Amino acid sequence: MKNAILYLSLILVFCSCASGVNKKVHLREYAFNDSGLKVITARLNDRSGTMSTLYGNSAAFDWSMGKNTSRIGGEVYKLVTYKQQDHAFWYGSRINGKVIQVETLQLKQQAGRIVPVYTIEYPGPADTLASINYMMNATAAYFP
Amino acid sequence: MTKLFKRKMMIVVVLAVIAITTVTIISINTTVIANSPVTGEIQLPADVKQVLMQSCYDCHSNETKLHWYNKLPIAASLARRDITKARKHFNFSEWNKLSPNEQNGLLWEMYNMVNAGEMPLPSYTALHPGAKVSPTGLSILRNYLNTIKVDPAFNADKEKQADSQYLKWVNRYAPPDSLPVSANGIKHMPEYRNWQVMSTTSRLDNGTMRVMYANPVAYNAIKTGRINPWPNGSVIVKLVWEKLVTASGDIRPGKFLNVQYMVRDSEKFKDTKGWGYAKFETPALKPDNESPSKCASCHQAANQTGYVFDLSTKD
Repeated sequence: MKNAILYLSLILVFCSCASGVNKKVHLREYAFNDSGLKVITARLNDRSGTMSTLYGNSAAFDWSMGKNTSRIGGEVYKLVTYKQQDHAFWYGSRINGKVIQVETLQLKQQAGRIVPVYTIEYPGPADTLASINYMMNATAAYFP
Repeated sequence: MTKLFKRKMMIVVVLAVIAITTVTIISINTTVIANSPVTGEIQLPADVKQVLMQSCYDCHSNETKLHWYNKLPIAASLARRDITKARKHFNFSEWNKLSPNEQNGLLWEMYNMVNAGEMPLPSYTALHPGAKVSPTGLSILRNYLNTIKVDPAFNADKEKQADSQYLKWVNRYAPPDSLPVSANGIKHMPEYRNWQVMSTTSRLDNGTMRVMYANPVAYNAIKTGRINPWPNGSVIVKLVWEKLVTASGDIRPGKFLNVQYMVRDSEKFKDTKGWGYAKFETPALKPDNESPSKCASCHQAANQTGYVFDLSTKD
């Protein structure tokens, strides 16, 4: 009888499927809405531990794909920079964490000239000139 | 004690003896699973291999060591099922049959499945408590993985490949005549470009960078925290590029590698926890029809977020 009880216990243990024990995680809220802009490309900076996504409107997109030979007023770029953080579920991956800055560049036509207008949200340690240079010259990543 | 009771007891004892004898004979004659020859053993540092041998080899190798209780009826068929499935997924004794990329991916997957508590199977460790991976064992595995991280460096050939792909794309771009479809019926959805970005990742394990999009149903599920389970109609798209180091030291998307899909339909994809997986390779978007079952297996490690990995979390 003892053997039978032991055996039944073993079968029960075999059939039970307890799920793994994970550290409880909390999702991060969205801090950025693209408002209809599309992703042009992305960038990683491992020295500063950041990752950025560059968005643009259709005029910006055309420029980044080499469709326009000269700049046109109306191009809008947004560079969203996040802190990199360890991925909660995959050791070996880093994922975007907190938004640390959102930089916007608009090219405006003023008195026959194209004038860049730069604004920044979440002011951080931004290198304004480097950001403008990047936004104006980034080539699009391949998107199928 | 009455005569009747004694007789009943005798019958019970006889039946028990018959049952135990039958089970013993069946067990002795039961072959749970055969151990094929070891043809291409994995090569790893001794301490790393020791952890894997202790925790994984009974199912993921041709050196399975069975105990008497594994041969009992029902238990034998469960063990056979688990070992067959495990060896099919990967087999340390036939490791050389895998490509270097597959080998690398599996090593990181192993760690992450163990870290998530998904492996070794809890039903296995209940009877083999010594197979549980200890914090020291996890640390040994992690330290080893740190030595095989892919550290991107400027590479002129990779830059040429990416530039060539880019030029073909911008110069010859035309909307596709027909959209590729995977064997499980998932179609490429170019409209993802209009969806919100869910997250971006930088992979140290395989040298890629990724952008993930969520369709409006999935986006709303994330915003409202209703992801266990995710609502039907949720779609998540992942774009994967090789990392390319620029002259300034920043990293940008290089060669486009593939686009991957998770499509939620709890009925149609019930065998893979309600998610349909698809992967389209290279700019030609060739369906990789072998990926769905592999994807589903690995995504177990993200069971806390409804099997979706790439969600940003707070501390």
